[in-house]
Amino acid sequence: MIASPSSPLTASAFSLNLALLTLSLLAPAGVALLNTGLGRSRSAAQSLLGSLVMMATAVLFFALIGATLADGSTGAGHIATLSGKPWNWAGTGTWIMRGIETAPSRAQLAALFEFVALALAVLVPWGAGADRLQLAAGAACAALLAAFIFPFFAHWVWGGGWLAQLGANFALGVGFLDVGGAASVHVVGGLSALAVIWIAGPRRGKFPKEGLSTAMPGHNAVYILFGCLVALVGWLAFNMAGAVLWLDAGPSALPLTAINTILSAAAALAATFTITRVRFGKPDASLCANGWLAGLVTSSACASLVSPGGAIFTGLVAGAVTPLLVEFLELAVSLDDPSGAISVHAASGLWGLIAAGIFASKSGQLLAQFIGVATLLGLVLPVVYFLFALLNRLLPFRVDPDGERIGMDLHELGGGAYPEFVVHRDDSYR
Amino acid sequence: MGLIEATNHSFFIASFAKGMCKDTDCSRAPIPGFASLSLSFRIYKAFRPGAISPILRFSLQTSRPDEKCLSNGPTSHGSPRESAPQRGTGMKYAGLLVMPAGFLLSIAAILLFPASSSRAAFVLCGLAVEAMGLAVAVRGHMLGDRRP
Repeated sequence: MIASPSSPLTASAFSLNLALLTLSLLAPAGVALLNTGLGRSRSAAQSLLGSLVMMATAVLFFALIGATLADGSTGAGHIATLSGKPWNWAGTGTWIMRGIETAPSRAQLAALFEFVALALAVLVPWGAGADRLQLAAGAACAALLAAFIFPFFAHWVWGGGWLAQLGANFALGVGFLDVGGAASVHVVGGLSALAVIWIAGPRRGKFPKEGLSTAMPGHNAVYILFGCLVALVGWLAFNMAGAVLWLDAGPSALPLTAINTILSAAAALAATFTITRVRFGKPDASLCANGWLAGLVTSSACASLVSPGGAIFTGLVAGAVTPLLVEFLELAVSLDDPSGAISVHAASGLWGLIAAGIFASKSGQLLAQFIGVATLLGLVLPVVYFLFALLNRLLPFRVDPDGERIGMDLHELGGGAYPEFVVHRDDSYR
Repeated sequence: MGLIEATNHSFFIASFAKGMCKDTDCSRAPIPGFASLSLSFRIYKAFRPGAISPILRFSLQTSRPDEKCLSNGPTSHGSPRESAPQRGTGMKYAGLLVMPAGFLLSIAAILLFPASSSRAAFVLCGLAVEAMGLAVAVRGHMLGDRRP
């Protein structure tokens, strides 16, 4: 059953959750490292500084506007009645988080959980726009996500909104379940990444007018792989914090969540490693990192809900699909996604949400998960795309050709991340 | 071993190229389906074990003009009345506008049908509509692809 944000939390559970949420900040740190490593060396400083800027912008706009819409601590909200059923579609919190110090302990932790979730979500489109998305445009995207898109969806799922109430109102399991943020963080982030890629277009020279796509490998495999390890720690903490907050899981249930998270990531890595080893002759480091992250994203949806066998299965599927999807999107669909955000975050997140329904014991849960998926694809993606397209008219996403040629570091920051290195030229890709 | 796997791998890409060739200008391919066959061969060559460094992912460099059918550059599409980028943008918007219809169908299903089987059927129909909208939007992106 989804716990109400206004229900009390014991002192020990509060302390444990606070510690877990503090530790979970390693998840955005790992993703930021991964994004930087998968981009080019001449954009490394802009990428990592951009990650900080995205997070700062997002938490500020969330505190100013978004928290009002996301809040579910009072149990009330903007409710519309449709077919005799209440549809809670927005929160009724206070502006600038006034009164957070006196709010129930679970509501305070929920706000902190949403801060971490948002910090992770805004990094996904930023990574997808690597090497051509301007810092100001990226920050504006983060502001839009933090002020409107994320808060609405977070309220629907975690704040007692209409998706969470599908169980009570329509007897669909316990309502839409998203314990670790697979939908609110990863699918929302992944769909935003798709919108950014559609609007910003591919990197210069990525898809030549004649021939297939050009390989633009990540510039630092160490960042990529170390980012995976850092992300694991953050993910473990975040999934366990979600289980305590939204499922009211006791301490005895947390080891299973942690075990499932590790198993899912391990199975995904094994699948990706095997597939790339068989097909390319040698395992591909960056695709393996994508596979590992895909396993973690899948675990966000179902680590607290499935058995270890189920976690291995979901991880295997995510790890097998990810490298194929990365390749398909690049070669056949002409989407230039340097960090693999669409495959890793959007596709794996959707798979995890569906898997949570498949493995659920309560009838109707799968249908509730499908309705959540339909909301993400049918409502969130078009809204995000049109908002971003409008924003692109006011503040162009794409850097000018000269800036792209000299690199985002020099163009936007005036200095490179590796001043003693020779910068790669576009001509060398041809 | 390499040939079979590489051919399997390239099957969906080749099929995709074939599908695209039906409604686009593939007159450059001397024999129908030649573009996709030659593509399979090229991917086989590129993915042969040891042929490329794995970190490069898929470095498939070619220079043959008939490959525009797969790479869907702006020059391979378009009608006299409307340029490919404009048509692509329209298709993308159309696809994105279809997607909310799938969402509304799913919501209508849970409101109107008490029986779980009809609910499930209509929710799945809603998802199918969304998938079609997404496919149209993706296709629009490919048609309107402006390559810098």
